[in-house]
Amino acid sequence: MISGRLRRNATGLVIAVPLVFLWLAVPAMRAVDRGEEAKQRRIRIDLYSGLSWLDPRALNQIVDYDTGVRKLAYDDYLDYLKAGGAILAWSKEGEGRERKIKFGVPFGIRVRYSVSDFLAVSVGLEAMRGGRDGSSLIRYVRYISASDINTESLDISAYRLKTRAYAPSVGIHLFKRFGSLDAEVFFAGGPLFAACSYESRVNYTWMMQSPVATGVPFSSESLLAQDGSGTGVSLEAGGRLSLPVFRRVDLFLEGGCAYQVVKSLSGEGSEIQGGTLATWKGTWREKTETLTTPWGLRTWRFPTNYETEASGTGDFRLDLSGFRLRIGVSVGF
Amino acid sequence: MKYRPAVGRLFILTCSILIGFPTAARAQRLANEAGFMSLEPVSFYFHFGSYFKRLPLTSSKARIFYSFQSADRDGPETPVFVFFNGGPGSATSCGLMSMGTGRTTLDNRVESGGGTSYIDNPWSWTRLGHLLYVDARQTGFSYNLTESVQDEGQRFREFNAQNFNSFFDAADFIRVLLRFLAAHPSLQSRPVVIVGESYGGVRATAMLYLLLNYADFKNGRETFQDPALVDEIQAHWDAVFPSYAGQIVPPEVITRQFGHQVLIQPALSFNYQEEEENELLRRPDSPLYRLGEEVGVPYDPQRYPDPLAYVEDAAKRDLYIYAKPVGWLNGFFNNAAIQLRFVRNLSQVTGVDVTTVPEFYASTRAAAYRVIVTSYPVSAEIPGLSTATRALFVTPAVREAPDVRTEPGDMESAFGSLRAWDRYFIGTNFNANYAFHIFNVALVRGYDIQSWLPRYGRMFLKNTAYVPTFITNAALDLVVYAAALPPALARHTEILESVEHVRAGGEARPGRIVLTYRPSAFADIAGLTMRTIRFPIYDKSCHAVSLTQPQELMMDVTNWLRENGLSGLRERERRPS
Repeated sequence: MISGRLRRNATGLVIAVPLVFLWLAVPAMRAVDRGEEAKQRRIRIDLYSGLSWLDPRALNQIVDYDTGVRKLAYDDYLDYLKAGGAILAWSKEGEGRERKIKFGVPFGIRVRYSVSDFLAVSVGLEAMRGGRDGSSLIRYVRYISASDINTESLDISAYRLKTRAYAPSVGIHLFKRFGSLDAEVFFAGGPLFAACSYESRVNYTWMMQSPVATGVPFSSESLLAQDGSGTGVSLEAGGRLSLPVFRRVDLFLEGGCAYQVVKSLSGEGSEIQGGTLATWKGTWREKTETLTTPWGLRTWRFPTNYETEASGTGDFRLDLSGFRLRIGVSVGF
Repeated sequence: MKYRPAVGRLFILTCSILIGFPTAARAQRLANEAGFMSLEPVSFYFHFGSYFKRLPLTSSKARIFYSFQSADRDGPETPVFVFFNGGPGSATSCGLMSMGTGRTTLDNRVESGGGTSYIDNPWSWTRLGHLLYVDARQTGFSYNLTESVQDEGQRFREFNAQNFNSFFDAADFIRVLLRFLAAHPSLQSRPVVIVGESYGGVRATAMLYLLLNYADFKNGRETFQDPALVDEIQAHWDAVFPSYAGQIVPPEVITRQFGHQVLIQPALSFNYQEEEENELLRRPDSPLYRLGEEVGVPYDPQRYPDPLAYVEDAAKRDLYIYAKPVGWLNGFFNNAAIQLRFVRNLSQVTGVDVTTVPEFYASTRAAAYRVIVTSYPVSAEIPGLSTATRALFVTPAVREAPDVRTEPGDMESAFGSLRAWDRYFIGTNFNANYAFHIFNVALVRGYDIQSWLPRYGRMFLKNTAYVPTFITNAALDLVVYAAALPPALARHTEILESVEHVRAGGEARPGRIVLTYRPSAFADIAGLTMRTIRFPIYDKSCHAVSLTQPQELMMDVTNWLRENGLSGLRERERRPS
């Protein structure tokens, strides 16, 4: 998971990570001379973390759906009431904080075996988590008359959209030594075990102040949670710079483009609406939904695992492809 | 010895034939009934096309009061008439049940308040069939139950969309009706004639629309979704139309049972009706000019832009019957409401000893509630209500105070004292009415279920394509000014090409509305061209036509039903009742 602040500074991170790498590595280059001994260390273990740039568009559509429906159901509706003279005015306090997934954080371990001076093979396992958490309170106030005011509160106590992936891989590494610096290109691939989850908890309260009555005529709590997991393919091509920092330890910086797609996910879903719990299991697919209200008509496409056997649904892909930037240490044996 | 049992059985069988058969036949004759139908909490929802973004609601437990009066003569085709008044929030017991339709009627010979007793009704509709009167949820004798009933905040939350909206209200009536029919196998397949008055027009429209298009209230096509209701309707069709068992029954088949509706001064497309009424009443040929001459306060549309405000405030006349002083009709309703609280009267009206009905007793209704606060201002101004509807509130309605006097023979003395928020009878429940129109989260969330919207006019016009319809045209009623109905329906230009009000005819009280439908009015109805609504004029009548012209109404309905396929009526009518 990554915080909003980190997300905003992600561009800076792209610059900062290599600089940190150099800051650590350059003194080490002077201190540690890579000699024949290093060559004999054919087995190395890499441990790394970093940043994954993600754009799971199909999954992220759910954010557009949630925010879009809210705009239609509240903002547009209140505009409609005002235009028709049903209310004098309306106001809104607060904004929703539903966010799309844009980044992930990988953690990995890799065992490399140098076959020759320029070729190594590896097996590895990378875990990646990406997700967004949010909570917010939105108030819509409608002024029917000076003494008749309705307030609707949407307390979005939790809004979570998450992915996680596990990618065991085998790789080929072609490297070349430039003094103390190793440069390499690599290709890796393997299966991808990925999952996604969505959770939204909203407490709705309608409070009225009017000459007829003042109070809360209605409140409700709703929860919608859906999970999915599946197996896909992970392929990656990239480059790497390694620098010795201690006698057995290298520091490395990797960048790569990954293709990580799962084409079939299924999982459980649950919903609490009006005090009733419903649960289900289903395959994730994209649904198209048109909301037809007296004040407008809007269509959305969003992913779900609820009743997706019906016609009119489309394939859903959890696409975790994107650029990867990793920094790590490599220990030779 | 071994033959004795067989001999014994033969003896018993013989005795049954000789003695028991007549006894059994008498026992099979349907008896009058009165009591409560228990409705369980129902989960339903509203939506705009999204399952996840829906508004789910769960109703409260309810005990719905009904009174069944068996027909004078029964036969396999004898219909069941289902009666209800309107409001929403008004009771049927002190409306249609007390006014000129049942075996007994409130003595209406004393004007301005009616008599103090119930008398035999010479124009009882029991001549035509069985009568089933139903008090809507929280009206009349019907009451809801909830936990934490002593909590005023809880009672406030109870009066909301989960219990009060025009679709769920109609669903309540369908549930009561179908369960009543299922409990009486000899009636289950009988023709049903829906009889609604005033807001009852909306209820009848919603009921028929729900019944005719029932599958759409489970499959997501309609805004209101009540899956349990659809299952119950399907089970009813499975019993009534076994050849369609398990299948979706088409409307043409459904109308074999639900094939007639009688609407007394109905709200159908009420926004349009009100606008057209105001237009008609401002015209030079408006009856208000004659009224102005009569009362000595000339009607001037410039001075009185709201014609109804003129009638009530300047002319001091009753909007329900402008020939009478303010409060005239409500005097009858109120009087009925008072009379019905006496066990003797209610037993007389229903034909049942109501002391045998357990749900009346205070000991059985610890969780019951009828009102939010124990006293409330019934004359409070209600924002957003039309003048006509507001008139319902400012007229002297029955005041249901907790300190209602206890008199010998009234329910308090017979059934015990109720808790402060419970009542034996409420003529018009303002909390319920507010819940339909104001305290309604479904309305706040924008669902188009407000009963005066054109949506109900469209539903009515689709129903009318299938179901022959009879509508009263009471000349003196300004709350539902029937003359405005044809032009109001004509405003549904997306459905109708034209509407003609035919005033001439061979009947004693002529009148018809001829609807010419557009070829593309409804995609699922092919070949729809024209329908005729019977629209007889009642020149002396108020809003409650069965009060002011009961004989004429009953005769017109009889003739109309005979013309429209209820063939069993002719034979029965020849016989003295």
